[in-house]
Amino acid sequence: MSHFTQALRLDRLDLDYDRISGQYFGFGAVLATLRMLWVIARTSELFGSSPDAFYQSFEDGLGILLWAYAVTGLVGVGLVLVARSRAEGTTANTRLLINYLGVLLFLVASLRVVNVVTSDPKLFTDYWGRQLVNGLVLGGVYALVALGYTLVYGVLFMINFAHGEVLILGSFGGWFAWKYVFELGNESFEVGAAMLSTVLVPVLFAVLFLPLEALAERFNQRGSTTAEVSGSWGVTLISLPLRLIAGAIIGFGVLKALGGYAPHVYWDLTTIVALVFIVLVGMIASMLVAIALERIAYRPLRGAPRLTPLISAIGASFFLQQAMLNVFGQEYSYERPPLIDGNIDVQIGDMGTVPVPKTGIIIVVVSLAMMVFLYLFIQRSKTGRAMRAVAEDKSTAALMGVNVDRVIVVTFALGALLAGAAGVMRGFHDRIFKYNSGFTPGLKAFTAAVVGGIGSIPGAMFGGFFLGLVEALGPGMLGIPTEYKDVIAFSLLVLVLIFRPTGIFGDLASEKKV
Amino acid sequence: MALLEVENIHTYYGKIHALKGVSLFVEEGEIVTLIGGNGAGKSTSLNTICGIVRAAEGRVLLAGEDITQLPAHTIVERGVVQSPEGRKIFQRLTVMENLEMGAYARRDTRTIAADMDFVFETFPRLKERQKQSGGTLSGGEQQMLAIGRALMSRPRVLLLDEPSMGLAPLLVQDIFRIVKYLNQNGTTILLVEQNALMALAVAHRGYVLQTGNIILADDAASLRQNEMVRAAYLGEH
Ligand SMILES: Nc1ncnc2c1ncn2[C@@H]1O[C@H](COP(=O)(O)OP(=O)(O)O)[C@@H](O)[C@H]1O
Ligand SMILES: [Mg+2]
Repeated sequence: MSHFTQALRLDRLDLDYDRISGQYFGFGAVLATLRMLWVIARTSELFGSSPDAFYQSFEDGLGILLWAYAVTGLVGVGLVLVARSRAEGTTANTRLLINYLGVLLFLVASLRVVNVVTSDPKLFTDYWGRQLVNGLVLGGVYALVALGYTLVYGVLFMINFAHGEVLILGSFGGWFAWKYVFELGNESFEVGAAMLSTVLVPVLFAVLFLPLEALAERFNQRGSTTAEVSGSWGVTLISLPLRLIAGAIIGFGVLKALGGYAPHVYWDLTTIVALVFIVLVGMIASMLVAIALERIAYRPLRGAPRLTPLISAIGASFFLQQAMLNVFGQEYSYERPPLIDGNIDVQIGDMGTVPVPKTGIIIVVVSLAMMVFLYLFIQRSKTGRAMRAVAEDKSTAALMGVNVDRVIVVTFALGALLAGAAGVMRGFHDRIFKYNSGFTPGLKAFTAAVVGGIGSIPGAMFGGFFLGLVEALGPGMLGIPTEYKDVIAFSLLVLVLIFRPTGIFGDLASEKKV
Repeated sequence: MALLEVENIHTYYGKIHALKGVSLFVEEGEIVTLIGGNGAGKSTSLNTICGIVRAAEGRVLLAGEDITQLPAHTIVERGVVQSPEGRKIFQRLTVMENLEMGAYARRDTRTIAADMDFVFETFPRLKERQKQSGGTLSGGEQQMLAIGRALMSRPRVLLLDEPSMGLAPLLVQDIFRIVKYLNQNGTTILLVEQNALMALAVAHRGYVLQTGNIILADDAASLRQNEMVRAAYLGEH
């Protein structure tokens, strides 16, 4: 055999095809993205109006490069396929082929976006911009719910399939609180909110005036044998009622002063207080349900084979849905108070405006804030540290004095608090919900958690937003009807499970324990 | 009254009768060692004391108080703390966080910092690596971390399960020196070892465990002279 033909025998060469093709495909994706962004930027006239010849040729150059890339890719893949099918069988080749098809799909999508954008620049504000906003809002909800799946999986290695119902019970809890405020003000949310605030604001101030530091310290010292009792404690005890009263009076005064001198601020503020109250009620409703669920449906099965709690979870999901149907009946709807109703128009260059719903802004901002808070809690607090320890090794955590059962309850509670907040905010955003509207978002959020890497907190956050964006932008990019967005979402799940079973942020350690 | 007293405990794993009536005691300030071959029931003894596995029969007393039925985390709060076999470091937590986990059950939060200093003084290697995650430490460092972590709980009784396992001979000597040092600093220790020679060198008294039964109990010096112990555990014939 000549030297030349030997070199062509690719199976004889010691090359890592998967790595090489991965880099090659990655390069293609970057190229396609670059070209897409370039064309969008140029045609949207962000850089001035008339493109000169140089820009035009740069763009054409990129286009030709992409085509050349697609063709050489095809030839390369073909060569490897032929060479390797004898040596290594078909699984490795299937992977390679799917990889190549994935990149082709991306190329087609990017070309389509380019075509659509160049055909009508207005489409950005009329379609893409809106879809982007939708995607972020959906993503915020998915991320909050996905965190619940991932937290529970992290410590118990089980999927809490009733989490979608926990979400919707938050919507119900919030709805009853909203209804209460609404009726308190005789069919006016704002009047009800103001009345509620006259009670809540002074109570809040009173609590803030308590010596919280000292109380926390005292709590930590309880039962200790060596701690000396703080000398000023007696004085603090006497001052407690005084502090409470002073705080309440100041709170009441602040509210009245606002009402007198700045009525606009007063109405907005009381509305916000009432909305926060409603969200809190929804969060607590979800939390209570999740705690009961853990106690009744999961804890007794702690030592059982892995499939058992899973079946219990599915049973709990059906039970909760039917219970909600029987107790609450069919459909409920929130009415938005004017403060959070309507859109804010965001100006994009001189292309026009994209309407952004106020509830959408709230969802994205609040979900991001909660994620930051959750992250800090897990990383910095003593309980968060215990959660991580329990996730890694329950019996050793118990040897450190951790009450493992309590940490597990806290984990369920945390996940449910996030889901409850998502449930209420989503309620105000979509307005209508019913007993089974938790099922689909629950499933989607689970998908998001798996895509991001189940058990990983950054993974759930990323997966949530990623899935939201894919669902909103995917159909338009691929030029298929919006009804197929679920197909896209679950295809994504399948693809991730094939290529990265641990998800994007998942690590091997969590896989090992499965 | 002894600080820790184990009275005739029987422990089962399903049908396996792992402990068949084990009794022992540890006086305040002592190092007591529990030696025996593989599968004798040493770890099971410690885990029964800690409440990780439950005794079917018998009692565990701490300063005369019955702690047999208490949940594991409450036993830790009472001051009985185990550094488990195989170190069981939290791999994904940093060295610092592992030590903080050791102090989890403590209420007197103000003295934790001082104990942290003591641990870092005893194990300077840990101080250098305090921000590293536990999984990145070497075997010897992990053992130091495991002991340091147990110390952070300010134990009344420290239970060490095979601290020398899998370590190079020089490190083994280090570990036993540290055990002795901790005891001289006032920690009561129940030391489980397969390395009977070293264990009997640092301990005041010892028990020999065989298939779930205590077959010998004596002070360490006499055990070292015992024909049967020499033959079975000290590798002499
Ligand atoms: N989790 C378990 N399940 C079933 N049997 C066990 C378990 N742990 C230990 N055993 C059995 O109990 C006996 C004592 O084991 P162990 O206490 O680990 O011994 P040692 O620590 O002295 O080596 C052994 O026969 C062992 O096989
Ligand atoms: Mg053992």
